[in-house]
Amino acid sequence: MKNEEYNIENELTTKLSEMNSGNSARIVSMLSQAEELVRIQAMGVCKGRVIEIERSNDPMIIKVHNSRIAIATSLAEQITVEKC
Amino acid sequence: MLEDNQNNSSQSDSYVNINKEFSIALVGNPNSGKSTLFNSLTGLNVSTANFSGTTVEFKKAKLKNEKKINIIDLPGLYTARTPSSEEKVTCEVLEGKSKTLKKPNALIFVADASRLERSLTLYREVNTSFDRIIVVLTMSDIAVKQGYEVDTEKLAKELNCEVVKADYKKLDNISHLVSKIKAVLDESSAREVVSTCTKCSLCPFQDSYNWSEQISLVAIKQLNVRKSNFSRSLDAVLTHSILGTISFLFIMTLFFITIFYLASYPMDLLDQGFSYLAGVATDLIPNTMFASLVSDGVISGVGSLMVFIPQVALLFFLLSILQDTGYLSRVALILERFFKRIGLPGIAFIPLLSAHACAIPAIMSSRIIENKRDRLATILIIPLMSCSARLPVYVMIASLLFSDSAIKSGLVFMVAYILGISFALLMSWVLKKTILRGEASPLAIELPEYRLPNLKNALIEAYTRSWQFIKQAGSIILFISVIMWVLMTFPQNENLQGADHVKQSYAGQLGTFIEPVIEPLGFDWRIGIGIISSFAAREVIVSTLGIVAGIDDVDNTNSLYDSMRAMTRVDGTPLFTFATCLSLLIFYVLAMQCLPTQVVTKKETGKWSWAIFQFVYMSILAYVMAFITYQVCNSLLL
Repeated sequence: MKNEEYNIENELTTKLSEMNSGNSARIVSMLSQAEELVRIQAMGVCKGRVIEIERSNDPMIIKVHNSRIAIATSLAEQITVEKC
Repeated sequence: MLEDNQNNSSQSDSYVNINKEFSIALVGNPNSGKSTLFNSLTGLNVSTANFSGTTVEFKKAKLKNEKKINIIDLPGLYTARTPSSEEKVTCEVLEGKSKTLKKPNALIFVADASRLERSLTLYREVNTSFDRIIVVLTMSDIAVKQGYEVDTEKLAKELNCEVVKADYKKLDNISHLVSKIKAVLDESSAREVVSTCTKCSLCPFQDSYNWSEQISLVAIKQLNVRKSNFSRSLDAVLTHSILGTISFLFIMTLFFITIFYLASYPMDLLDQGFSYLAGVATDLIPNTMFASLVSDGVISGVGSLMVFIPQVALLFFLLSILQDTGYLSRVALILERFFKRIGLPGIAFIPLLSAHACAIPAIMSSRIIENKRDRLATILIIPLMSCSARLPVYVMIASLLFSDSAIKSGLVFMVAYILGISFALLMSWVLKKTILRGEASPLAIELPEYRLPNLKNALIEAYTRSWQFIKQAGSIILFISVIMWVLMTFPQNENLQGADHVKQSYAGQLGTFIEPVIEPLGFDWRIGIGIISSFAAREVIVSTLGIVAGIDDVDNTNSLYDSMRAMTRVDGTPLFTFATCLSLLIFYVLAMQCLPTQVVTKKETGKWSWAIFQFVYMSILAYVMAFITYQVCNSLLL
């Protein structure tokens, strides 16, 4: 089971910062516990949620649960997502 | 994490006892309409205070028409799980561990219907500390635009507590809400607290969101309407790299013109009012010494700061409007990339712009910056911006330099403003590389839906902040004014008048004493007195120089500048040469000469050391730059 997850992460996952606007993605993991990352998790950008990328240049705009959030690309680099 | 408080269920005091005081905490996400709800539930009797040992603020007021029920507006937060100071103090209050506030008897939880899932995750974190809780559902109108509505009955059942929809446009609904709140305080309504957090093995947020999504599924009813994309479409323009910048410049110009020019009318009126008062005091008080203390010391001194009240009120009025509409978050987004380079977050633009009116409200408004390091860096550079109090000094220097040319005088102003801004940005970069090492915290901000602003919120904000300004700056200016008056008036000498009297006064002696230090800047003891008197308020140097130039009527500006031009040094050369004027200008752009600002810096940073640091670095900067200016000008132009 763990192995499977590992493989999936390698093949389908990418950094949030690499995503293009108009696409959707599911959050897989956070690469650090920086305070800002904890805060955006509380805003709903946390593991398992599906987000929509509205704007891909710095700062990015993403949408989760009806709420639109602007995040610096430097933060988006620390978030792994899988395309969906 | 908040633990289940076992004491709650065993509390046996009767909540209907009318002699008891109750306090109810108001908790919710930022931008959830919490302040609007607070303002609707309470009146104008709002008091603001800080949690002890922090700069985190809470508001407290009595519930409308109730003497015994206090509502406490706690800082808006997304989670109680991060160590930021806002979240820490909120947790402490809710758990009953706060030193500033005792544990509230009940909780009003503000849930944003348009972002129900997120509101519920916070609810999940905080609800276990209370057996009396009422959920107020806000933003239902926005939820409808997004295509759904929330069934309050189903939500109440899921959450095991009272849920009320808030609609502030109807007064009936407020009284309905008030009666519900009172009902919650009733003993019989205490609910059984069920700990909802049973399995915290997963990522805690994932777990919370799974839970809140389940509840939302039950409580949300999809509507058959077209979803509104208004905010998104507007953002396509307002956050666009070119169009967004243009609209930003336009909005900020309007903002600046309003706080600057619109405020100038009431400011002039206040100025005249204080002059009139000073005149009345002189006429009414028989003892000339006491009359001088009251009119020249107290009334003129306090008046010099109080004329800024219209600017302060307008600034906070407009800031509240910008915040309510949702535009403030967009400002942070637009400027993020540029400000990041100098170590500041984009939102720092707002206090820095406001500082051109007055540094004190600008420092107060820097609270919109969440990160502590970023806020500190902003506060430290704010006084470098050319505030209104510097304007009379710039006018004086421009007239001394180029009385014949309006264009050249205008250039003096421009140079002064640009210098202030450039040095502020430079200092921010230096701070980033030295004592405030590190990057500005990366942008992570919600873009709330665009909304029409709430006028009442803005008025209340303007009113509360103006009071805060009067209280914080007013007491210190009274103190400084009296001291300055004493320095300028004593020791008394019946035989001396005007300039001669000033020279032998304590202030004059101080001016003479510092002369060797300021001589390399092109200043003599007379400018020295001017600089010392500026500590009450910068513009005082104009009237002080007027007095030492031997003018009785300092309001007559033409004769003032003529006599100043006629002032000479010991060797007979003119005092106000080109080099001296320029050096004085640079000095006034960069020097920290406003003690009330220092007091507010201390209040907002929590430490005197930061206020002292601000004073020291600005003084050194001003001295060195004025020195270079004078020496270079002198050697080039002679």
